[in-house]
Amino acid sequence: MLTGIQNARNPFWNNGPVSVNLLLQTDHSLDRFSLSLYDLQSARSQKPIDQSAASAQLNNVRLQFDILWSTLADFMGRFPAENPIESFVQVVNHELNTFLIVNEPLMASTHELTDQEIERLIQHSEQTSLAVFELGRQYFVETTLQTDAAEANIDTLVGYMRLFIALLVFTGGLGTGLLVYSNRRTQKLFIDAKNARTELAATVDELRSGKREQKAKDNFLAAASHDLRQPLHALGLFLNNLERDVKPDGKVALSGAIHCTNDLNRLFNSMLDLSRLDAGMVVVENEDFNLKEILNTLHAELSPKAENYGLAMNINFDGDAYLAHSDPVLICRIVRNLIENAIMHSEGSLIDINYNCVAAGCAITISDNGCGIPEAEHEAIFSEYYQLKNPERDRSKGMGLGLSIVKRLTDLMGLQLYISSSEDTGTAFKMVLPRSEVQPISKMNTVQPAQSDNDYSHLHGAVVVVVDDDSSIRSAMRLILSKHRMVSVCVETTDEALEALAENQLEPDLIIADYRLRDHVTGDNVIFEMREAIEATVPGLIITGDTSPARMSSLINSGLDTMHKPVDAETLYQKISQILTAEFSVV
Amino acid sequence: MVLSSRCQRAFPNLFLSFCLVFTSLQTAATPLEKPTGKVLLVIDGNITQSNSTRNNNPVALFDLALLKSLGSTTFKTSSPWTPLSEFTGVRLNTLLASVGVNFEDVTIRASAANDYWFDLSEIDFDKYPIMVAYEKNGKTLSVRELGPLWIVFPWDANPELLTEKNKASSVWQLLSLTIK
Repeated sequence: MLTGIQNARNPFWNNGPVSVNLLLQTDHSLDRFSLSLYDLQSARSQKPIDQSAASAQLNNVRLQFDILWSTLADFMGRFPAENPIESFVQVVNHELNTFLIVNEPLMASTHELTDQEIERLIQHSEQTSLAVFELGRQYFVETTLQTDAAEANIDTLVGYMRLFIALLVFTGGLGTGLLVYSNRRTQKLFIDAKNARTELAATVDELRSGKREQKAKDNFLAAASHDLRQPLHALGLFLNNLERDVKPDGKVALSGAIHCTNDLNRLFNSMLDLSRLDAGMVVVENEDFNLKEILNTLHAELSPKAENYGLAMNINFDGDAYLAHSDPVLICRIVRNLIENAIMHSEGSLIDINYNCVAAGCAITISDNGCGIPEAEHEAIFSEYYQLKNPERDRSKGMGLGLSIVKRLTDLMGLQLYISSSEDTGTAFKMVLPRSEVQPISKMNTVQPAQSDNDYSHLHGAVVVVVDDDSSIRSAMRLILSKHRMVSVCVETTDEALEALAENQLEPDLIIADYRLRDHVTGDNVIFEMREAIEATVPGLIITGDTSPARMSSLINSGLDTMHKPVDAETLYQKISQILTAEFSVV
Repeated sequence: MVLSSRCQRAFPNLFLSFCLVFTSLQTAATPLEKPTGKVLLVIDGNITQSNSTRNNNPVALFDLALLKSLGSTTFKTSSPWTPLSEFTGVRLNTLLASVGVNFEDVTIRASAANDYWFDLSEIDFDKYPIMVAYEKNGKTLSVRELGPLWIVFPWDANPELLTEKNKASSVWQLLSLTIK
C-alpha cells in the first residue's frame, strides 16, 4: 500500500509549482530579452541617434542575455524530463542550448550588433519562446491526465484501505467472539465434565450397593414378562373355552391346567403390581374406614386357603375404636400379602391377626408360630424375588414379591412396618395406622359383587372389533366373544378392520386392541384412527403385556381403558360389560 | 565523516557570526554611508536607517564596498542548483540591523532582476547564517552565475532548511528587499 502511495506521488506532476515557475521564468526572460532588443532598435532608429542611450540599451540587452542565460541553464537543469513528454523536453532543451551557443558571440562586450543581427535575434528569441509555450501546454495536458489517474489510483487505494480496516475490525470482532465462545464452551465442558464425574460416582455407588443389578433385573423381567404374557393370555382364553367341550374324565386335568394358569396369572400380576409401584402409578387415597370390617373380610377370605396349607387362623380385636385414617385398598393389600406370606412360608400351624388400640393409633399385628426369620435376613426378605426357604423355587409358593410389595406400599404410605422374629417362636409383623376421629360410612358394602355368567345377556349382538397381530389370540378372542353371542371382527390392522366392517355393514360398539402391534403401531393409535374413519367415538380397550413403567404412564395419559395380560375370560366379560353399560347409559 | 566535517565547519562559522553581530551593532549606531560605486541592492519599506530617498520615501542603497564594510561571512555548501562551492557575503541579520529592522516582526519581499519575487517570513536569521552572497569561490558572482547578489542558505550544514518555501526564498539575481 505504501508503495502504491509512493507511486501515486509522481514527481512529474507533484513538482508542478516548481515546473510552472520554471516555464514562466523562461518565457518571461525570453520576452524581456526580445523587449530589450526592440528598445535597442528604437534607440537606434532615433534621428539623430542618441549614442549614449543606444549604448545603454545595448548594455541592457547584454544584461538581459546574461539573465536569460542563467534562466535557461536553470530550466535545462531542472525541468522534469520524464515520460511521456521526455523526447519533447529534450528537443526544447536542445533548441534552448542552440539559442545560447549561437547567439553568445553576438553578445560579447566588444561586438557591436548590426540591425540585421538584432532582427535575427528577435526572431530567434520569439521562435524559442513559442517552443517553450508549446512545452508548457503539453506539460499541462499530461499532468492533468496523470493527476486524474493518480486520483483514481488513490481512490482505489482508499477503497482497499477501507476494506482492509473493515476486515481488521471484522477479524477482531470474530476473534473476540470466538474467544468469548470458546471461553463459554470451555466453561460448559468443565461443567459437563463435573456432571459426568458426579454421574460416574453415582453409578459406581449404585454398582457397589447392587442397585444397578436390581435395575437391570427389573428391566429384564419387564421385557421378558411381556413375551410370556402373550401366550399365557391366549392359553387362559383357550382353557376357559375348552371347559364345555371336555369329557368328564378330562375335567380334572383341565381344572388342574386352569389352576396352574391362574397361579401364573397371579405371579404376573404381582410383577405388574411391582411395576406399577415403580412407575409411581399407585396413588394413596386416604380416607376414614372401618379396619375391623377389612380384617374380618380378609380373615373369612383367606381361612380356607390357610386350612389347605394346614394352618389355623385366629382374629382378635382389642379395643372398640376400629376407625383408621389411611388408604383401605392398599391396607387390604398389605394385610393380605402378610397373611399369604405367613400361610405359604411360615411352616407353622397358627396365624394370629391382632388388632390393638394403642396411643399412636390402630396397631395391626400378624404373627405366626412358624420357623421364624434369622435376624440377619430381616432386611433381605423385603427384596424382590427373595425367598428364604424355597431353594427349589417352587412357583406355587409365589415368586418372592409379596413382602417387597408390602415394603414398597408401607414406604409409599409413610407407615412404619415392624418385624420381630426368632427361629423358635415364629414371626410377627406389626404396623400402626393413624386413627380416625369420625364415624365413617362403611365402604365394604359398596363393593359390587362379582357378576355371574348369567348376567351377560345384554352383551348379545354387540359388535366388537379385535385388533391383534397374534393369530392365536385372535382365534381365542373370537371363541370367547362368540360364547356370549357377540359379533366379533378379529383382524390384524386398522385397514382390515375398516374393510371388514364395511363389507358386513357393521357399526362397532367396542374396539379392543393389543398395545404393541407390528411396525411400531400402537393400540391407542389404532383406536384413534378407527374413530376418525367411522366418525364415531367408539369406546376403546387396550390389552397390553407391557409392564414397563414409562409405557404404563403413557397409556394412562391416553385416557383409554386398559387391561394387562394375561386376562381371563371372566374378567374380560366384566370389563366389556362395564364399558358397554356405561356407553349405553350415556346414550 | 560527512556529519563531523559539517560540525567542524559550523563551529568557526558560528564563532565568526557572533563577532559579526557585535560589529554590526556598532555599525548600526552610526548612520549609513552613501554608496560610491554601482548600486547593487536597494532596501526600502519600513526602515529606520537610510542613506537616500526615492519618491519621498527613505531607502538604503548598497554598493559592493558598502556591503563588504558591514562585515563578511563565508561557508561552503552545495545547493539544489549548484555543486559544492564557497560563498562569501553579508549575513541577513547584519544587513537588516544596519537599516534598523528587527527581522522577527516583518515580512521581507525579495525581488530579482528577472522579475521574480518571494516573501521571506518566519526564517530565523540569528540561528542560521543565511547571507546575501556576492562572492563564489573567491570570485564576484556574475549574472550568469545567478549573481551579482544571491540569498544563500547553509543547506549542507542544516538539512532541515531544505523545504520548498526556503528554496523559493533563496532568491538569486537579487535587486531589492522591501520591508513590510
